Amino acid sequence: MSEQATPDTAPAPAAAPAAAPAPAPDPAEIALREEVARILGGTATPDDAAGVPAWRVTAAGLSEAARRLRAAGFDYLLFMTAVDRPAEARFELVYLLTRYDDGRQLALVADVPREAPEIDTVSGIWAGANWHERETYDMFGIVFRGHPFLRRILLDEDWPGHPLRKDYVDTLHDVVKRPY
Amino acid sequence: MALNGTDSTADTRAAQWENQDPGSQAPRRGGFVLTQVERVLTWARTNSLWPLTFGTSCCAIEMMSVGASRHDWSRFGFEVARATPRQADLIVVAGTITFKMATRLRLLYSQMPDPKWVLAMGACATSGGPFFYESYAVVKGVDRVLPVDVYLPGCPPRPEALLQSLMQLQEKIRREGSSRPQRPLPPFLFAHTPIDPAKEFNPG
Amino acid sequence: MLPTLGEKGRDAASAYEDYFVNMGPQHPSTHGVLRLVLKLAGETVLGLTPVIGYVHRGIEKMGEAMSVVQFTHLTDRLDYLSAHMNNWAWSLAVEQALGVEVPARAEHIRVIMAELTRISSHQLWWGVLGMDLGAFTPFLYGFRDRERVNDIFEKTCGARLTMNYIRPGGVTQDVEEDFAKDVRAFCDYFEPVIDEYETLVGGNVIFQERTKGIGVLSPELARSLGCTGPTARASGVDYDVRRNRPYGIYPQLAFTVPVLPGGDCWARYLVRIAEMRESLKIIRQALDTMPDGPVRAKLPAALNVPKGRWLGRAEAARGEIAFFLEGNGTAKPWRLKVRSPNFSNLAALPEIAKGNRVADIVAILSTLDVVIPCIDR
Repeated sequence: MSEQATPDTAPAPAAAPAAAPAPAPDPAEIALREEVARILGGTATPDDAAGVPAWRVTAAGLSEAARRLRAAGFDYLLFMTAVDRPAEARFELVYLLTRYDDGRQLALVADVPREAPEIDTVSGIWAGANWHERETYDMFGIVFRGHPFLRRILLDEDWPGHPLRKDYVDTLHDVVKRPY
Repeated sequence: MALNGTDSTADTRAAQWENQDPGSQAPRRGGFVLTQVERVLTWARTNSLWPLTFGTSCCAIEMMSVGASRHDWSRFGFEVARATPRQADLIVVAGTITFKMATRLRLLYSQMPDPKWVLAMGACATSGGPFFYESYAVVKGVDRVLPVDVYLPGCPPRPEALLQSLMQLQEKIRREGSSRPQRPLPPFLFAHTPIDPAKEFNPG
Repeated sequence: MLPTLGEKGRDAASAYEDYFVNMGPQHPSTHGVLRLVLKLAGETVLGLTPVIGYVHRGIEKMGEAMSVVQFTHLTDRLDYLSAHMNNWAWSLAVEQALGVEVPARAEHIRVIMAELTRISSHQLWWGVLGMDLGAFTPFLYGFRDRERVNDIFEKTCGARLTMNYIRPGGVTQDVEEDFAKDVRAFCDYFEPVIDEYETLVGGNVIFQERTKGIGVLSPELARSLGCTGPTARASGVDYDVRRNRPYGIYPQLAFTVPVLPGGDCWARYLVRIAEMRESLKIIRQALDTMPDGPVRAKLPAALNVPKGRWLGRAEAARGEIAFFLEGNGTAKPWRLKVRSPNFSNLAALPEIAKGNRVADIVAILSTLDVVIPCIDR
């Protein structure tokens, strides 16, 4: 895990998920970073954000990176979701990959433009991605090319808009803002 | 969710309260014999209200606890909890009602035969509960969808509280009589067109 | 073993038109508001599509409008039968983000509460499984014993169901004096009762006929879908967050993770019964080694979530629950994602229900043990 304290934090965020006090670099994490760098090669660049180790790929290169990671033993897609970054006019898609045998985790991050958000599906690689991608489509409006059944999953078919977008405004359903 | 028509929320809420004032209901008529028959029917109905098992979220677990042996509700006559609305007198709305479910809930209510009553169990059914602020998908109180007789706050309410609210409902029925005309539905401006299940089926 | 639809039966079925039937959202055995679109040939299920979202409350969007500590009360209301574990997974994510260390006494209390919740959830599952398959008595027995756990929760946490007790930094308040006595009394009472459960339901020949060989989930499909928890462990997938990716004081506790190869409803049943026994072991060990001390660490005054991706993972009663938190330096999260174990487990249902009868769907859904508000969030 990255040990850099970002300017916004209080001193030294703890590193390991078991709440270890000393932020010493975890040798298992270093080994994971080396292994993933070897698997992905030049197709991905490591992302230096704090928290879960992450690698960035282009939207076009996502399927290849996903295929390589799956072949290397990352058989457990924990989830797949999107983060809306309207200031940078993009959606950041996050694929949280891990392994059943040792639980090591990494995030595969891809950007799609906000105006025409489209990316290839990975539901052929992990069957669980089918429903996760439907949910991401439902909440954000991102289209997954090649998805066998891309429809809304949580909201009604005729729901207007995509609620998790930051610019979602709901005039029909009486949304009350928190006053405190 | 297709919108049927536009209306200001504040006006509809005021209108729905006026329509449901029990004092404005037509007084019971019918002479001595019919009134005695009515009293017997009311006694029978209050002591054997059969609830529809309608639980959407956490309150459903407390409702199940009331159906279990420690806080047994069959002592009060609620023994037969039916899953079909056709055989139920009372719908205990236990849990959050979303816009997607609300239209189906109105359909369920319309399938129940008269006389029928509604108990809003829990904070979500009373007013939207913890989901009142910032939720785009929750109906803020089931009384926007159905005419509620008894409200029960709590998140979730204790089983004893549910028993007390059921007893209050029984008192209310004794007071008002059980053969009252059906209460008007509040205006709920959403509808859904039922889709052919063949189109919703995912063959893949 | 029930006869399955053989070749002759399939030909006969194809002479009829396939028809679609809706099961739910109001249905006694769909465990909440779940709608199943069934494609049937007579009683045989040719295909099944779950339609979810009837209790989608927008919790992820709501999380973007409140602080990380305020959000804890909503985590209870996801899978309310694993309320403590949801709180714990969320607390793990927040503690990573804010750099908070949890005191040892709080870690022990967390484990005891989580394992009690696991037992209570499995008690309810067992009772409802019996009820779904037509026997009402297990429901009463399961709830009778569940009330004892609820009494312990009520004395300590103040609430029976949505406790909101495990919060970032520790737990809200210390346990009361009788806690160890009450919990040990419950463990001593419940251990022989599990044998009673096994004899009453598991030993019943009708139950065995209705669950053996029904709804077989292959380990490859389970891994590919991301299934976790007893559902996956009954298919041979040896994965438990408490052992594979431990948190809290689980590394110091000795327990086995029951795994069975069958993948059918019977295996899922046996795995959960075995898990109840393991949970009792864990609770006793945690009680024996519980230290004194504070139960809540101080959080920073301004709960600013630093930029980065924070992930808290825990083993809920139904699988792995994870909270993904992305901050941007302010007190309100920028994005908050709930990884629901039931979401991934339910995705297995269309595949494993094919070829079975309508009555078997009830058995399969009951042993998959899904809680719909966790799926819908």
